[in-house]
Amino acid sequence: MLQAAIGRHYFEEFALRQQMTNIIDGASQVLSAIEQYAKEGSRNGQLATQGMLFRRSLFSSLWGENDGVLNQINGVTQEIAAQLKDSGISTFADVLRTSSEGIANACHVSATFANSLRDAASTILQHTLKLSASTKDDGGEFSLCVKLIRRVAEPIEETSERIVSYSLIIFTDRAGGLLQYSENITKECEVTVQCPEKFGRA
Amino acid sequence: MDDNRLTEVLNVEISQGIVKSADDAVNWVKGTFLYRRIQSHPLFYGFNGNGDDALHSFVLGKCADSIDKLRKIRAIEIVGASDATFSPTPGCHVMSRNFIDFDTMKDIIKLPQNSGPLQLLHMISNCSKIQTPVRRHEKKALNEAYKRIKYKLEGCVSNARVFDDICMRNSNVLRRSRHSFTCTDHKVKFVFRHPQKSRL
Repeated sequence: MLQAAIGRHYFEEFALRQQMTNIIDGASQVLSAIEQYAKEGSRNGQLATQGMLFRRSLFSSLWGENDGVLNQINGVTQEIAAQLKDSGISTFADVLRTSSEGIANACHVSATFANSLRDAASTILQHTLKLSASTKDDGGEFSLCVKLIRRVAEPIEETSERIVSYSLIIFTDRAGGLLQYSENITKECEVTVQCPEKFGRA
Repeated sequence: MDDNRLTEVLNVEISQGIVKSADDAVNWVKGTFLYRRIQSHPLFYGFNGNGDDALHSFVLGKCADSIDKLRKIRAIEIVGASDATFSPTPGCHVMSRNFIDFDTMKDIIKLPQNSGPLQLLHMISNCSKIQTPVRRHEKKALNEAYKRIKYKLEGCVSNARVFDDICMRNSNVLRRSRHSFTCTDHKVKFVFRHPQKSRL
């Protein structure tokens, strides 16, 4: 049922659709608990990341980037996303590169819908952040400096609505290796975390 | 008596800071409807003794078991040298905040460090909280959906039988009426086949 929900499978029967909704609610609750326990209890960064990605899959109906990203936009169904992918339009940048007529022809929609799709892709790309990380050596003690900066240099109109928000999770692959967990990042920021002992050594 | 239920309820009280020791737990239980029920239906709850002291010991035993279970899943930790008092850990708060049952919390704690989406999917699918029985007429639609899913199940779906039994048993014990004739019929067959299981 969970996988069917992520794959946007439509059940004809009302009872099954109702069950699917209940299962998604229950799964989201358990996933929240997994995330919170990984964040506060076991400090397991890998599990926190996987829990968050799974929860995102449930809400966006996508397993990951390979399944496409365009169906996150309202009105873009699984079929439209598949038709766009067949025409070589699978990312937000692809949408901006293609003309409205090209989009309309690719997925047999009206020019107005194609225009609104381009506007949405443009807004999302404007709010996209880029990550860069570097290490600093403070006399034998390493610290990790992570910067999140806008991908588009030009100033953008700030809205109260969160169009794109990010979660920043910094962790090592060791037990209890969660170093930083920040949610709902919408603006440029800089985070510095102290690296654990023997960082970068086997 | 469902011991996990008592464990879950005590966990909430420990998380809130109301219960800090086994004696606190007993005092708390003494103020609940459960305590009155044990007095009026002792055999149903497995209490064979007589008198207040025996009842106190019985409740203390049940609370100690529950506290031990919580300690084993690292939801609480012992404070100080004596084992008399304990304090909640983040696991206790997570369990209480998200209304997570004891068995699910146990599964969450058991998740390996390098868990991927498949492990999470298996763990969530095994939660009794989100499982629902499959009716006979729904099988076709579910089989159609199964063809399109990403992660297929390995081997046969052996747990479906167990799960179906659990649902039918609960439904019978709670005397919950099912609108679907298929389900009612299924329930009757189940009770007929497993008379022992249909009683608590």
